[in-house]
Amino acid sequence: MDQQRGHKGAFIQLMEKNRGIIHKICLMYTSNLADKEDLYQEISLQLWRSFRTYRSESKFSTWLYRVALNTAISSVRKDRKRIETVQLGQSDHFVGRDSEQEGMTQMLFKAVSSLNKVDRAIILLWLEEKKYAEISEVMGISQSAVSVRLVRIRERLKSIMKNLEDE
Amino acid sequence: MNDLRKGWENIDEFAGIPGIGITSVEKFIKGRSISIAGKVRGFFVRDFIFKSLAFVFIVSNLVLYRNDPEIWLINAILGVLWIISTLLGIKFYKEFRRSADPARSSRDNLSSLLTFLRRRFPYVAMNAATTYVCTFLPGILLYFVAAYGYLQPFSTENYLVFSFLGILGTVSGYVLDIRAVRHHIQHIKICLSDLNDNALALASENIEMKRKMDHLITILIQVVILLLFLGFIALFKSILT
Repeated sequence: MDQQRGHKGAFIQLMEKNRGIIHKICLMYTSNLADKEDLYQEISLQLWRSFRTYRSESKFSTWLYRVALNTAISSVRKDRKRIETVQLGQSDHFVGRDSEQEGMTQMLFKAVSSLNKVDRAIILLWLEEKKYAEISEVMGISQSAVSVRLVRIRERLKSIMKNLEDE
Repeated sequence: MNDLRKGWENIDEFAGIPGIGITSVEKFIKGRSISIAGKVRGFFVRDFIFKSLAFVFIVSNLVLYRNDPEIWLINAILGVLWIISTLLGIKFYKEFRRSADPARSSRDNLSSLLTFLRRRFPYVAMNAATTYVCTFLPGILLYFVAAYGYLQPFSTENYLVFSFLGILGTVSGYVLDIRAVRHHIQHIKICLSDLNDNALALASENIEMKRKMDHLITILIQVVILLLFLGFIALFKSILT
């Protein structure tokens, strides 16, 4: 019982410490608060299940990104009808915020939301300043493939953001 | 591209979401899943719930029909079928847990999940269809003994209706389950294809190799289930006429 409580305590600490990155992953893969909450719950649940079997064979951050991103990639929305009506980039994560940064952030998310789920994971890891070796370990592709993919993704993002700026 | 990172660093990532506490963890565990692995896990949970119900029905019948050797025998056979089905269910669930481990790389995670859904899930669905037989037949028997105190003689019409309902439930359950995962398989295939062209090719090759091996087992299981079902109908008919 004490062991279970200690386990839970350690998990809560882990969640508190890393909730910033989990929220960012949720932002990257959802377009409204309801979906974000669902995904946050799902990732937390998967982390909790995997936490019991975590054996520190890989770096902790690698393990965390793997579980969170795999869950985000393989998640499907609850409300199918809503998918068709949500416009990419018309996110309600930023409603009510008023700063110069907001425009930039909105634009970044508009651009990122046009990428496929796998590319979103790769660019997220790059934005988090992860090394190619760690991105490769999380995604299961070679470092050279990561490098090539990142060049393509960044080019694509640049072009999308330029178009958005022109609009 | 530094602007991208600058924008990323400045995101107010906590907008609108509360923190997490122990109660939240418990709430998450009880919540409805949105991930493919979570949905498949939910399928197993539902099957185990129905298996528990079937267990109660079968055990109740074994007690209530203890003076009726023929009905008792039917329930004993269903009990054996239930044990086999439950053991298979546990085996499949363990296999699923290994396949759905999210702590592996995205490519490994998606590949193993795809392999499980394409190669193993038809057996899982077949096993769940067996649960329906194990719930439906003892359920009817239990209803009769609860409502009338004994098993009412069946007319030909009754016999046809119950057989039809039994077959309909088993077949439609299987078909619906298979259709439910088709969408998930498509989703994973798209992700694998986005991840790496070779990843999907490798996964497909692996599935194809194992598919051939499994093909024979599928036919054998289908024949056994069919024979069991026909045996039950024959036994039922001989008892009730």
